[in-house]
Amino acid sequence: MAESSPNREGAFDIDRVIHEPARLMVLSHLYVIESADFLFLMQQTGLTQGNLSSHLSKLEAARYVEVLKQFVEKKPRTLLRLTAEGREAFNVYLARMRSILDAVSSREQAKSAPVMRPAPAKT
Amino acid sequence: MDTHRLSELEGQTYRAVVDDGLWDLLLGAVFLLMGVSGITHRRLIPGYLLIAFSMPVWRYLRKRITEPRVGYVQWNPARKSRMKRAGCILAISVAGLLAVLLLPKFLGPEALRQGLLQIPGRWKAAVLLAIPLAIAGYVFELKRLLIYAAVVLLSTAILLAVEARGEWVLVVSGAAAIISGLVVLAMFLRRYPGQGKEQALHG
Repeated sequence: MAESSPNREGAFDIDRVIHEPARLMVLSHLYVIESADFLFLMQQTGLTQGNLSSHLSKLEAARYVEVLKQFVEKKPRTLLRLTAEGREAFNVYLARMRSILDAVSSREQAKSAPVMRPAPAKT
Repeated sequence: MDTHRLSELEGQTYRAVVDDGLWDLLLGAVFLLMGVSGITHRRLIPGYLLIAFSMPVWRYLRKRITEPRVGYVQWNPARKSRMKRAGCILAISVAGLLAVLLLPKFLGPEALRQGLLQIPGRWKAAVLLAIPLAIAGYVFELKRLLIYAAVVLLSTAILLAVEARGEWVLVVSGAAAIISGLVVLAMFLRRYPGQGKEQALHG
């Protein structure tokens, strides 16, 4: 369960594995599809081969992404898929970020709201 | 990133994979060959054979051109079922079109003389072409197909005004699809130049 994930730390209780921009991009792409190969993720995220590989290793170590190996027409195909744990962690991350941003924007609105001053007394 | 942005991302990903211009090129080739066959009175390849063969050709070209550049993706269940539904709708409309094209052959000239089967007029033929195109454009989220449907209807109106042969509609629409397909394919190839075998390296 993502609620007890060891990856979350800090005052905002944000999952640091997901919070990194490149990994967030990879997870976002994997979240909206079922699975994809390495090349597809590389093209869609714009990450280099080494960069993507290292981020995927971290996501795999956190059990957010799993690697599936298939044979299609006698050729190996490596697919990457978000695990149930990864999907849950991503949902929690989204909810957490939304609540933080909502709290910040409501505080900003309260700050910028015009202060009601009492009208000067008529003489 | 909210749910709206995520569905937008899914749409972007889908378009990145399907916007390779191959659809347009095949469609244009089928239209053009059918149109030229009609104008020259030479049966280059029968229309129904062209339509039947276009799908395996498209799959082959995708495997050769698109997949090595964009990579392989399996869509989420919602997208998969939407595409299946779309395929069914398209197959039914294409079957309807084929039935209209083939029925006169099976019923023979007798049936035509007796008025059992009315050969559709130019407008009917244009609508029969435009409807599957518009349906495919809508369900597969390929806006260009909607434009081709409009080109079919517009060229029919123009050709009727100048009293040209009906087959020119196919030639005009086919040429438009081929030109646009070439432009889209060029853009696709520029965006995704060959990547070698990165996929295999990771595996």
